[in-house]
Amino acid sequence: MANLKAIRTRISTVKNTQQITKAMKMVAAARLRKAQQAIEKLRPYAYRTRDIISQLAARADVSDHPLLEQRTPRRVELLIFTSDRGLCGGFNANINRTAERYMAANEAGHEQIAMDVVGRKGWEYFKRRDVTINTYFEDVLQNVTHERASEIAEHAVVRFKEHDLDAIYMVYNQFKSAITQEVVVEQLLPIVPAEFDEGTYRPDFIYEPSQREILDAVLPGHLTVQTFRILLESVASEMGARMSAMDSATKNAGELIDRLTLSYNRARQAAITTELIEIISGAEAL
Amino acid sequence: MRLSVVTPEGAKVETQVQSVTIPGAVGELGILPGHRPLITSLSIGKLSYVAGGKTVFLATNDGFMEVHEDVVTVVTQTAEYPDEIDVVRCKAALDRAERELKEIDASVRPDAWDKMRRRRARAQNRIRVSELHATPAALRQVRDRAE
Repeated sequence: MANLKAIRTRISTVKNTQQITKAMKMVAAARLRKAQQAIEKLRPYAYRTRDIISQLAARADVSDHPLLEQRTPRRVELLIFTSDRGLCGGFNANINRTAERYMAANEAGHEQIAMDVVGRKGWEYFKRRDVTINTYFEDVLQNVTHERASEIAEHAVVRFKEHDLDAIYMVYNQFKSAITQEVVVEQLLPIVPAEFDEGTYRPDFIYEPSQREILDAVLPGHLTVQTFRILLESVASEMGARMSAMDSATKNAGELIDRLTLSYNRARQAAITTELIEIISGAEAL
Repeated sequence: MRLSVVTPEGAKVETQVQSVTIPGAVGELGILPGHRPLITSLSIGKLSYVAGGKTVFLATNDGFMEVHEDVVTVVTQTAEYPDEIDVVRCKAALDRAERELKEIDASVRPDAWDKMRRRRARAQNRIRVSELHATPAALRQVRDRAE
């Protein structure tokens, strides 16, 4: 027979845990709302910038700007965006797995695949593995600022210009909705030119001033904006993932409590029955 | 003709217009329906558009513009209506920038110098747009708040 006291303790433990997961869910929901607003406001700006730049890149000469130079990718870098804290479902595992799979698939073709990491979870995962971690950007996620985004982008730009890397890809969770995120691999450098289908109409743009000057003026800001956008995507996704993870944890805890209460009551009844039988049989024996 | 002004804080303008005047990097530029495809960078300045016979002004920042098939897309870091500008704060920012400019040695720190000059230009631009186009009521409100 199950020990009554043990079950009682168990129930109260699970209840405590449930309270914690519930609180975490509420906190995540509140922060999600803010993060979602931020990313949804920024998206049109970031996407328009990207569109126009890729249009420009498609028409410009490679020699027009160093960041357009398409080299054979020998040294490649993955910039992964994970979170600082856990308890957010598959958020970090999905990123790490995608990065690992990418490296396994492309190992043969490249001289080196290194990594830059945002978020403690990704760093903790990869530092123990056979991976070159180039830079770990610490304490970015608590307070995502334009300055930090610019620092991350600048880091990539400098190393690209110095031929330390030939291409850099970002691996991040794109925010779809509060309950869904999608892992995306996106090229940051070199700039991806827009693709035109053969025979489609290509508008003949006037450029003022020259293409080169426009690119000079907008490219640095563009990379910062894209990095900033991805940081915001990642934070919103993290909050969404944590909210749904904590929601199901709370539900699971509720189910567990129900089951434990049932067996507690069963045990209690059994104890009463046994006691009664003992009393009755004792009385009969007299 | 369609005009959309997009900033990091969201879409600022999304409307049907008769004409647009923008502060291009090489000078002011008027856009009418049927304009040739154009991509240009913007300088800090004043954008205006005519919609339904009324002229509307905006103080804009660095950015660029694309004209394509009668759609004018302006992508800029900030865009403010005259009534949204807080002149008191802008004047304080201008004073700060002027003071900083005196301290920075342009030959030693050209980047910082350049940054501060842009800051000064932005403040000047906002003040100018506000003084020319803000409604008296909005200006009074800003002044009252400052006191």
